[in-house]
Amino acid sequence: MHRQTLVRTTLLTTLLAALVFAGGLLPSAHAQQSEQITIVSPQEPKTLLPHFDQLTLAQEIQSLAYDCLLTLNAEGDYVPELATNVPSLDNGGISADGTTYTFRLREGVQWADGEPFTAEDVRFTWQVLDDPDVAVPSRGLWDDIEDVEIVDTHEVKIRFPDTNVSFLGAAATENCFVLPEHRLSGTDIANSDLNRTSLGTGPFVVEEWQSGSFIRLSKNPNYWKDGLPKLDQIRVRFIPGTAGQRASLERGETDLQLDLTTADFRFVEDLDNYTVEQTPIHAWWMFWLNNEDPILQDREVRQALAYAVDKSLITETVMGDIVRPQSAALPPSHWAHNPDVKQYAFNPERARELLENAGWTLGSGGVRTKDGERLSVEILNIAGQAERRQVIQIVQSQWREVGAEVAIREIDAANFPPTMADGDYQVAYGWFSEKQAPVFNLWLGTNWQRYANDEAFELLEQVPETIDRDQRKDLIQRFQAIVAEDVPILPLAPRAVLNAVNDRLQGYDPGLSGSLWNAETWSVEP
Amino acid sequence: MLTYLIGRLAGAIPRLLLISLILFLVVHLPSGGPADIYAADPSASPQDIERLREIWGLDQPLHVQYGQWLGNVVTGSWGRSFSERRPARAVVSERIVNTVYLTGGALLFALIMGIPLGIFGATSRSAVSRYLFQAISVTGISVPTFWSGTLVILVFSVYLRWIPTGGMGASGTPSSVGDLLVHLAAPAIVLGSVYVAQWSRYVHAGLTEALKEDYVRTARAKGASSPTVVLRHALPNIAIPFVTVLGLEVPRMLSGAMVTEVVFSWPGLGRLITDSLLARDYPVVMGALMVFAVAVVLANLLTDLLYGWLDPRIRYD
Repeated sequence: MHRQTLVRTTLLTTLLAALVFAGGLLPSAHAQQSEQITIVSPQEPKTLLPHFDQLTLAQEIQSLAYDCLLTLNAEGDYVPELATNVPSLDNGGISADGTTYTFRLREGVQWADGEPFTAEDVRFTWQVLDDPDVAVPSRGLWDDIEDVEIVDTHEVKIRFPDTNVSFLGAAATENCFVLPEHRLSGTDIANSDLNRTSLGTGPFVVEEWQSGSFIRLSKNPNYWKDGLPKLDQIRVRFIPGTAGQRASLERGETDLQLDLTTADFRFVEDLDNYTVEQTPIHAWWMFWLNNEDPILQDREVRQALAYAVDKSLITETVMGDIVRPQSAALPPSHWAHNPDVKQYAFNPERARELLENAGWTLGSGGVRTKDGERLSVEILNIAGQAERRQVIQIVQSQWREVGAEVAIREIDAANFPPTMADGDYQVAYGWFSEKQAPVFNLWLGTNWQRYANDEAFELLEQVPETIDRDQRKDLIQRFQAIVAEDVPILPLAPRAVLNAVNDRLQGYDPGLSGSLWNAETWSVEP
Repeated sequence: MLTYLIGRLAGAIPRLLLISLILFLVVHLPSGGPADIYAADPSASPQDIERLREIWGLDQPLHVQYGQWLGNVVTGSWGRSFSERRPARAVVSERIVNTVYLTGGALLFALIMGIPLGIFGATSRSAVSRYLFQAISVTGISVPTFWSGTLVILVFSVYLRWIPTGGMGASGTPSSVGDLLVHLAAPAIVLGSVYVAQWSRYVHAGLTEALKEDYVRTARAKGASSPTVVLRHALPNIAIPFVTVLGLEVPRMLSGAMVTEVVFSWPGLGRLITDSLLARDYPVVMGALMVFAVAVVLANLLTDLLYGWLDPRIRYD
């Protein structure tokens, strides 16, 4: 091999590459005849098959391609979608004993491949969620259904063994997407190719998914709402880094960015052609307190810790002054939220008093002791987010002020649930959420805080049997009042979902069904 | 030669097996599994999570799971991704190509810039140019890619608008070679500049030593021009240590691009591995890590073969 030739070839190749590179830099004409928008997301869904990835982002994208029987409008009211009625006791859609729901289905609806949508599809969706061998992460209330009876091709009766008051919520928000029976029946559903594509009755069809890059959806020509969707294409780009997200915003290439951090929120506020919109979700930041921990099992200690935290300081600084402190166990966005529970306004004096009462007296170095034990707590956190860390550091210094010694332990997200379930923690920071039709998984399911109060739990257990909505609300509010007194958890503030919206995007209207729920009515200004 | 090659490849098999066993144990060491990421869903009850675990066979003892994984690998399948619910091999393979573009581009840039820079540093006589060389190489090594990448995006993408904000192509996937190169240039240069600095220092150090050798004086004495002395006499003599470094660094570049991939939204292996580790998607993590293991083994072999080509005194029989 002649090395000089090698050198020459290398030089030529470099030159050539540089030329091609320079050529690509020239502005290329971006002809834009069709109406297209770009949604930017920091995260990527794992699968697009409804029910198999329940994380918010996946559900948002699934909602572009699939429909539910009902949906929640921006005001939080149930409105019909694939059904033509909202069943209620008054219109007879719900039987008097609350065990049977009758849905009249919309006629003339087609799947994206042209096949008609019928009652078979509704029953099939239940069968999938009812099958113990299908690996769906959660089945919500569909699991409780006893039978789905097909009355005719466009009417179903959904029966529960007992009174069920929450099914409208399930039909509108959780595990609500209806699956195509004709495509999936008899197949290995969990491993279906619909994991990467789509076949729904929704306004858009997934055309292409390049992992780590984007998902491209186009207009469903068979969509049942006349003249909709207005957009021809939606591109969902996955940009994990802040630099790329901000560059795309500054260049105006982003039409909608999902999940802004608080720091990004300030950045977007300074951009001329964007506004920040908040999507209401029933989620909130909180501290789990391990009620079986030797120190924290004392209610006075838990109350003291609650008084010692300046929630407003945290919401106004770290959380960007977007949300207000929360005291109840349900966030204010929820219809059953109780605004009148005991508030723990920042009061370090009261906190010290309570600790004294509980026998914790000031020892050396400003740390309280009782029977030779130091008042020392460890806060468990999921590593990786600056904002979470800042919150915990504020709390750490405020608890120190009242005489507690505070350590921080950080683990990764997949490690969090098993650690919590084992009770291998004292205090843990994170967020939890609740459904529109509450299932109380925080209390009756996981109960990582190991709260035991028969009176409180009895209230919750009555909820599914109580048909009257106001009575139900009353039960849930009484529960919140007891919990606020006991402080088994320490709620901090609602978890805001913030999106940046380009002014050219028309019709954006986030609601309880998500940020993209009405995407079929969106359009762009020319 | 052929016997040597076969011997080396056969020897790689037990080594890879051992690596896979260690990796499998390490990957499974942290508590929490693929089902646990769904616990954030308020309607996923503890029973739901437990059932997922059973369906996925995660309640089996670890040695049984390893046996199943190994059986899969032998038959050419790598198992199914838990979270993406498709073959792990498909998940990993589509990223390998993307990563080869990025690291290949970075490698090319690093060689084209690094070797001449090292030669320049070793041969130039003025103090100013020596300081210049030191400044360039120290900056290259010390500046982290998340910072330089962000700066590059800010200047060239936001202010000057010469380059796109990230990704592999204008539509998301490259539509032409030109489209790919436009998107590749910035991340490849950012990733490559670290190696420019490192490799130019190797060339610089090696060459500085080599230029003191007797054969260089002989070459100069017989009247060879300065470029000839450097390029034909001194440079080939530092090839072996340089190839050794390359052989170690090239497979490492495959795994080390995570930060650059995040900054430039590049869908490469580094991001996939991080995401899959956090989601405890074992088949994907194992698949991707084994790709690295094989790359390291192959790079070592290739390095050894290159020695023979570079230095005729080395024989493999």
